[in-house]
Amino acid sequence: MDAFFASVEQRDFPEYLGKPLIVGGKPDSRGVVAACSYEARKFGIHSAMPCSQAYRLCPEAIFVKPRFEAYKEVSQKIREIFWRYASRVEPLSLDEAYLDVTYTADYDGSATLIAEAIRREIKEETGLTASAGVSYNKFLAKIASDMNKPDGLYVIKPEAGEVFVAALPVGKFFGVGPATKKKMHAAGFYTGADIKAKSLEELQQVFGKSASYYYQIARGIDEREVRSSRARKSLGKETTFTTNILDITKLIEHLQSLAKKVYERLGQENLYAKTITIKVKYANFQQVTRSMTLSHAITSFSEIQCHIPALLKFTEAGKMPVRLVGFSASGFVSEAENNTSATDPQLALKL
Amino acid sequence: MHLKISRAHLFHQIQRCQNIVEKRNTNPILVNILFETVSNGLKLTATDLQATYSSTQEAEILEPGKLTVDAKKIFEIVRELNPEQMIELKTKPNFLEIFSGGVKFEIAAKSADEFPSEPTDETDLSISLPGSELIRMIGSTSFAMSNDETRKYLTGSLFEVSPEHGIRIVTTDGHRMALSEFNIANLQQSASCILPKKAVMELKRLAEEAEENIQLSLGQHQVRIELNQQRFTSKVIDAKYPVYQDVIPQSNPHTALVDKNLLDQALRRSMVVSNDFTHDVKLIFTDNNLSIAAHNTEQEQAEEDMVIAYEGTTIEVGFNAKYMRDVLAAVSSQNVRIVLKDSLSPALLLEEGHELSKHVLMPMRI
Repeated sequence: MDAFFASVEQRDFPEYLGKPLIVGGKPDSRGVVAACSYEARKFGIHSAMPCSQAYRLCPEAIFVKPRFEAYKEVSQKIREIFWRYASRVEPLSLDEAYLDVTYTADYDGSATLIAEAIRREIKEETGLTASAGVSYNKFLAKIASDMNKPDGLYVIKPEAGEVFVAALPVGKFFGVGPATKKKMHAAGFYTGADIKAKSLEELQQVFGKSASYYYQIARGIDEREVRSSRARKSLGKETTFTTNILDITKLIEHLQSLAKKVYERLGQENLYAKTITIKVKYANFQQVTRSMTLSHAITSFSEIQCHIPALLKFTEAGKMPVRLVGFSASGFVSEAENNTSATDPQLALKL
Repeated sequence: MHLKISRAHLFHQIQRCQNIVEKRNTNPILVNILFETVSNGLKLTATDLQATYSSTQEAEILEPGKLTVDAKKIFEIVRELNPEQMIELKTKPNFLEIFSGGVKFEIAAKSADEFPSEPTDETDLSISLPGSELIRMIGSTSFAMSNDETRKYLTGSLFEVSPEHGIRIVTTDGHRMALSEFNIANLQQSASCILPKKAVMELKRLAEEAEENIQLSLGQHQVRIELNQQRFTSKVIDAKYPVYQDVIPQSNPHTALVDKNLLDQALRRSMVVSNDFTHDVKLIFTDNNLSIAAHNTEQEQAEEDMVIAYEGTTIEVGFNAKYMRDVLAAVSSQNVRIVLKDSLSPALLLEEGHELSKHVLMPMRI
């Protein structure tokens, strides 16, 4: 997210828009800047700077206390959006996460288009802008995400990875702070290319344990996996229409196609869901969800298909114009649990 | 409308309509039957919007017209009228007058305008087959239809027509599967659809009174059944049927030939002390002998042996006795062939001498 805390404040309090805004301690306190708006950054203010210093740089800046509840809410919302597309999500902070979209079928699996879709959905659903970096490993994706801030996207393709790192100043490396940067400069390392020029043994003399990490990333290699902090609880998709829809048959079609995508993802991620939920947002932004839980986990798309019209019947769809529909599956059970034969002595045909 | 019709003809028509009318229907017009005069007689129509039945019977038309009346009421009245007397029906504003001998009824009538029109023909393929074959096929498959509304596509019967197999009916509830087929010569096209239970039962009823062939037409969304002047149209279950072919065992190595009636009696006895819900019984196949054992949670038990034709390894396998008896009831031959692999694999049950029907039973853990 771009200038996360500050953007949330500017969204919720339009009077802050276009003004240097600092979220953090009071100007006369020993507190630090937690976040600042892009307008404040022009004055050289950045996060982690003492508030007193920020005040000296820009006395007219507005100082506000952080409202963590509001940020958490946005954080939850964006993570929900991440889960719509990614099979693994590894949050780095409230507003940043690594996403693994290797197994995502949307947009023909194009990570770039998926990133754009996520950015679009974040904008639509939170009113905030986000920046994304797309690449073939975590190291490069993280750096890419900083390249086109705010509200931007940067892609580092596999064939460009090594060249990109070669030209990268060491200060931009993830994990390299001011202290390490100083040490690197002292050793003659200014860019990725400088590191790449050395052998692993030579690097070990400078970096010790971290040598192999630098050796690898200087070659654009980073084998770390995206580690999900939690298991997925639900899997859903939604779509906002360009014009509101009244026709119930069309809504059913849209829901069926969303459900189809969700069903395919369930298969890819080896998940068995017992609960299906539809979401309908009317033109007046009022929103309802309707769900049903089956006695067994869903194992075929037709099982989902036949319940969608029934669930939709319990909404005002067809009577009120609808701007958004969503479909999600939840109530996951393990494969073993789904095999009801564990409790039922009657074995089932493998249909 | 003014007409005269025989009591037998009218009663038969109303009875059929009664099967379609949904008693709990929320749409008031649907508890009614549509009466309308056509060139050769009186046509009655009933619908629940899923299924529509219409029938035309010979009548003496004195004045053409149409109206609707409450199905249950007209059924109860006509049932009580003298079978020997002709019935005269005559409309007057908002009412239908019914005369039979000295009896006169006046019942409320509603305009026919609100009544849904009969669905147009949307079928693609039509076949004609003897009622007796339909009865056999439905009889040997209908019991395996599922009652699980969450798996709607299993609550009906799959009707499949193809040049290779003729017509084939398949049912399964996930624990057992039934298949029955009838060869039809010179078929060019293929078609398949899932008939809802109500349509299957209506088809069976029509088949039971058919002296000639029944006309069966299948479409993507609709099935039509025609016999004489009767026509039944139903929506089909719009879903994909599971690939049932894969669950039919192809190479079970051990076959037992068992007297159907003796097995059925033994199972019926065993069920007295088997679990009331699962009806599980244990069958042990050894050389020319079948042992049947059952017990319940109160430690009550039953055991018996019967002579069968079997050579092979000893197999101990559990089955739901009720499922097995359903199959035996559909078997017309003296003996049933039970084709087994082991205690956890599906068993195939066949009639003696032919494979027009196939039944697959999944065992129970014992």
